[in-house]
Amino acid sequence: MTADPVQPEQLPADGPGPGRPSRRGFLRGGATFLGGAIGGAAATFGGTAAWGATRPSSSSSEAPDQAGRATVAFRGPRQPGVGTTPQAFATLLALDLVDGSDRESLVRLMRIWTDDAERLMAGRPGLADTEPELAAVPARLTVTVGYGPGVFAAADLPGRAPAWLRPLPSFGVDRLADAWSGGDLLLQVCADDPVTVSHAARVLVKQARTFARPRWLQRGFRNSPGTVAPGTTWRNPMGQVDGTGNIDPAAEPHLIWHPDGSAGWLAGGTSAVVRRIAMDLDRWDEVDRAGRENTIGRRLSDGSPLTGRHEHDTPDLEAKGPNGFGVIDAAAHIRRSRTQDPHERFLRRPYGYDDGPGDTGLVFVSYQADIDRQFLPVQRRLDELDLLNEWTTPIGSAIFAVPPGVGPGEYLGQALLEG
Amino acid sequence: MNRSTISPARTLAATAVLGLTLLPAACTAGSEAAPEDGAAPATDAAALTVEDPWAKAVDDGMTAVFGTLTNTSGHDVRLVSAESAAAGSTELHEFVDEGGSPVMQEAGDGLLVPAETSFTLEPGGPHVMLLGVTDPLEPGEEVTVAVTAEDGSELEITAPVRSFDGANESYGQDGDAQDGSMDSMDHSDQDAGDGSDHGEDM
Ligand code: HEM
Ligand SMILES: [Cu+2]
Repeated sequence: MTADPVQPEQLPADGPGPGRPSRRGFLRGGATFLGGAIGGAAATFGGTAAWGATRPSSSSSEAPDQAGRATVAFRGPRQPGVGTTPQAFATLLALDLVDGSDRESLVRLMRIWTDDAERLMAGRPGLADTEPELAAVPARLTVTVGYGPGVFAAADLPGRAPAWLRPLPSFGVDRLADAWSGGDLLLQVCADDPVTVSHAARVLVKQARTFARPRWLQRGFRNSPGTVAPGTTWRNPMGQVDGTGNIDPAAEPHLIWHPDGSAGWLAGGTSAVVRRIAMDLDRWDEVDRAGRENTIGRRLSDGSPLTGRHEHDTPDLEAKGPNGFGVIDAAAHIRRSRTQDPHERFLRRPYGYDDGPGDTGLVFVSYQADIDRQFLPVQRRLDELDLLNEWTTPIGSAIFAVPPGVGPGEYLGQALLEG
Repeated sequence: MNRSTISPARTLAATAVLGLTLLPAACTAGSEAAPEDGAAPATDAAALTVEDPWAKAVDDGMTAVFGTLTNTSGHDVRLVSAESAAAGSTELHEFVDEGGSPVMQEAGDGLLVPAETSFTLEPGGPHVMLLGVTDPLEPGEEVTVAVTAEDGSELEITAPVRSFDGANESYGQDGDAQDGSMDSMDHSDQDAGDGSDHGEDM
């Protein structure tokens, strides 16, 4: 049985029941670890068009706090927050293990994070939660944990670290700051409400404080639920429709996850690349519309390729304009990021950031089974040539192995730490 | 019709099982819920479930175990004592008003969990007090306490240990009855939790 790559999600039942977790599940189909927790699959949605788009909302009969009450399943063969349709808000946190960390302390931390993540994602307070009321709005909260190289060193399991788990090589476009790079542990906390994200991140960091110290924190945003029509691809802070050419996790799970049944602790796991990419919006302002569209190779109005009419039309990279040049520029971002090699693709799950005037950009997050095989060749091509480089600058970079999901009775990373 | 909704009782029982085991074999059936046909649970302990137990991490000295006890039976259950291998001594504590400020002390009559009622052990409220802890209770570990009911039956609570800055309540005068190591906790105001008091107070 092929497990569904996308974490089962639950929308609340119709009647608003204060604080009452609803069990009317909206499954994306497929296998689930939820067991008895799901009452019925009332609807199925998903597919290429839906992923990366604001989640569909249904009829007028929905509860006014519907978005707040929706939950994502924590337990399953894969961690949530990867195949999960991106929520509106994200906090990505890297932490460094304290000196003296070892496998035993990592196991304790993972037990704590497992417990906290499971409770919080269900809309329940963590143990010893000092603000339990803030946990009452799950808003599709997901907590995703990643391991930097430091985890394997601390656990004395250097041989278990995947070959691709090392800092990316430096690129010509990079202007990396230490303050935005590296980290032993990653926490990706996403939800459709920023209060939820803030509380969950605080609980997780607070309970980790004897184990690890925060290294960097990046907050990101996309569209809020209910603000754009269902199926709308989000726009990044440069105004571009961003995500059209993304892969569909349900259709090509092998590009993201190590096969569930495969050998080794990474079965059901993946890798995360987190790059903080600054956008020079002031200089982007100087570019006219045609120049902006040429930079990407897509129209600003609807994200359609310059060679097509609709957003999801396949770009025609061969098409020539009246003067013999490619309609899609030789250095356009979509030409340079596309490859013929079907393996050189990955899941992009970026968020916008805006930390004040002159400090805007993308928290670029990608998930792939193998960073070296899938991500690096594309990043190299973009480093060599990409019109977008004129306005975008990577200022942070970190990579993590993302352990598989947590089955019943298990804790995060158990296959690595005990295997 | 309401098949899709899990009743609070079932949720509670399911959660409780994670943190709870009962010592006497006779209690096993009672650990999840009250017997269906109204028959009284075999023992007091069997009438109780524990939800979300946890303990405050501490290097040494004093700490406490918290959680929600639910009496699923139709009769009151009185807890009279507690025991833990992790502590020199273990007591059932409650808060009393002493000159306008709340202080904790050993609960003279034990802790009463009324019939069909939930009873919360929490910072600032009743708790199971661990005194004379010598081996650190580290976050992510578990600590086990056995709470004895009036009829002698025991409820074993396995509590995950968590970092916690609160629960620095002061120890009442009655605390003097404890051994000498407790004196440092015998402060009467609430500005505990900083300086030398850190980690030693409940
Ligand atoms: C601030 C930085 C970036 C911005 C603003 C940006 C923006 C965009 C936009 C607007 C598109 C077209 C719509 C879409 O298919 O999503 C796109 C496509 C794409 N981008 Fe980026 N991108 C950035 C960085 C990157 C990086 C660092 C990579 C990978 C190393 C990357 C890889 C891709 C890929 C693979 C596509 C899809 C190409 C296709 O198959 O059509 N992008 N990007
Ligand atoms: Cu006490």
